[in-house]
Amino acid sequence: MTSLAPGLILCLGGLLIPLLKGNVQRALALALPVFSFANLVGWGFTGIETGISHQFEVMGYTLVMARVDKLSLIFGYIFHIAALLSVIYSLHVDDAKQMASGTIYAGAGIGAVFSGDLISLFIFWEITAFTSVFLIWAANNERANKAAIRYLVVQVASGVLLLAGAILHYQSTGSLAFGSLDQVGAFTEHIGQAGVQLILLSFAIKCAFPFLHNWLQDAYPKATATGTVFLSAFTTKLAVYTLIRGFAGFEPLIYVGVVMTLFPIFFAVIENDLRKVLAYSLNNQLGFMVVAVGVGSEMAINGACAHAFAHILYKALLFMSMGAVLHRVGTTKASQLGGLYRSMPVTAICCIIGAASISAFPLTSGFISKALTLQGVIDAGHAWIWGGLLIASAGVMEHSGIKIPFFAFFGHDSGIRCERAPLNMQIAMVITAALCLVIGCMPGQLYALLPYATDYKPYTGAHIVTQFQLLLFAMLAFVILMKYWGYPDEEESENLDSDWLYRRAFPAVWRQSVVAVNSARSIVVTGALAGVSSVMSGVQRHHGPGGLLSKTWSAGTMVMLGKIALAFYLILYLLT
Amino acid sequence: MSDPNKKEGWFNQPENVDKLIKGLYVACALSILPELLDKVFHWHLMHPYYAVEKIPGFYGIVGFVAFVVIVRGGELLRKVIKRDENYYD
Repeated sequence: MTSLAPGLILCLGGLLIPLLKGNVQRALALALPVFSFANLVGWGFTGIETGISHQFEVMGYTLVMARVDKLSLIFGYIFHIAALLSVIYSLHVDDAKQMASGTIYAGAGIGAVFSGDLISLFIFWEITAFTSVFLIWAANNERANKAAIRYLVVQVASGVLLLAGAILHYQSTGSLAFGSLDQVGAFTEHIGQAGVQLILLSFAIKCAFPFLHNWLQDAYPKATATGTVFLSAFTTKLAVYTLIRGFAGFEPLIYVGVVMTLFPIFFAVIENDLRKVLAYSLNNQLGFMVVAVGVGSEMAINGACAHAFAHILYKALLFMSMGAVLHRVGTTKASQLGGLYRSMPVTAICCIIGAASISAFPLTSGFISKALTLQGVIDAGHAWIWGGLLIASAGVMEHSGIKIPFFAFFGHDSGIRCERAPLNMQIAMVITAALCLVIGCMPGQLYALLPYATDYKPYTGAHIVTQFQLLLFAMLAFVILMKYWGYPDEEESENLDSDWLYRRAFPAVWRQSVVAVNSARSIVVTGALAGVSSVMSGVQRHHGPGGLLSKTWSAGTMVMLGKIALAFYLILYLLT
Repeated sequence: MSDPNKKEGWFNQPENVDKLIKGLYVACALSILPELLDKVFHWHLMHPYYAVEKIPGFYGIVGFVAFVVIVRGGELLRKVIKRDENYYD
């Protein structure tokens, strides 16, 4: 064994971070993703670029810590890049707990991607939950603390479902394997089994499917400025990876995915907290990937992987830019921001590059990645889904392309003048922005990493023209709305979403039930007590002092009663 | 912020904003132009998969209309789900 299982360097190394201080601690945090990446790339030199290794027998089960194929590698690579960028972005924060939990969280995400069996996957799945929650707690305010608890409950529940599903699956098939090499959609044909359904539900929670999504918008905007950058990269994209591995080609996912692309865009329009807008936007982006997983063709799976890769970078970039604003200004509420471009020019430019990338402008990473998914949808003949994704693309332009940069850095001048973002934040943003552009200009590099070989050409005349049309006319609509037709004001409010069900409705129903049960109980108890006391008073009346039945009877009376009984018996005897 | 001693930023000066908006109008027109020329000169630049894509400016129409519908839809949604900021506290 020449190298460690992927993810272990970050998981174990992360535990050392709190033991160190100052620059040594920072150096270790920076070195860990680099070493881990070198370890992963080392697989190529050891001749097992694709293969299975690091297997252990535990209680009769075979745990596979390293199942390396092109699908796990592309997610492994981007998770390492995201880990390093997040660490650079967080270097100014003197909080070992956050740095350690972020590092272990990234390591667990990587470990999960390379897990070749469901038990290893479950273990890493739960580590991502327990480590990432510290990034929310670290915000250290009451709202964040409560959201962190809700987040943890949801994430752990997802893990428990995964374990239950794995056990049921093992009982019915005798296998704990999570797909063999280069195989996608391993569970799709077994969807009728209860175990497989539980596994899908577990993935669906982590991937923020409609009605299972709200932990994301609840928790991510309440994490620390740096924590959200970590959070945005790993959990949901791990879920996308597991969906590809497990459920590629499961057609209902197409419809779930298109709903995911559409419903968050309406919430994003009216959301005032720009980090929460980004959380809705993240949900919308996941929808594109879920559609691709549902289509399941080689083109679509390439699309899901390319989109996940590009998305991790531009979404992290957008969260970085808003994190920088939060760090300097103390808020990301659109109603309180505006005109920051003069104070934070680098952040503003990077934010615009992220916004252009997520909107899929030509020469950015979004253009060359989303195109594969759309092509996959067209090839599979899903015309209505294609139409839905076009509308969703205009929605992305609205909330992430325009709203985020416009209301933070331009628009109404809030009068806020602040310092530029810390240097490390700016460095992380510039590197990430550069990657978005490099990938957009040189798509061949990313395409070479995709699970399936492709000669897709994103830069055709038709594709460039149609994409510019879509985006420029969407911008035109924004201008017309702002100037003439009216664009909704940014209002400080709490907009209800499905979390209302478990934060208000279920507790209210529970409280009402408790009240109802209590009053029913008191009626029953009072009635029973009244019954018992009336019986007791009856007994008292008849058997108590002076009661009819408690009187003493004289011997004469008893003889008389005996005579009557005998006479009665005699008469009966004579009559029969 | 009309502090006379403080120079307004480039993007806060209305004439500059007008320039940007005019630039956008031109860009929109330019984005339709290749499609129209393609129709006239038969360059076979565009290769539509669906019949609707043959409508000149189809993507522009989708971008514009979808944007307006999303914004208006958001406003309607706000009427239903908007609560006080401290609703959950």
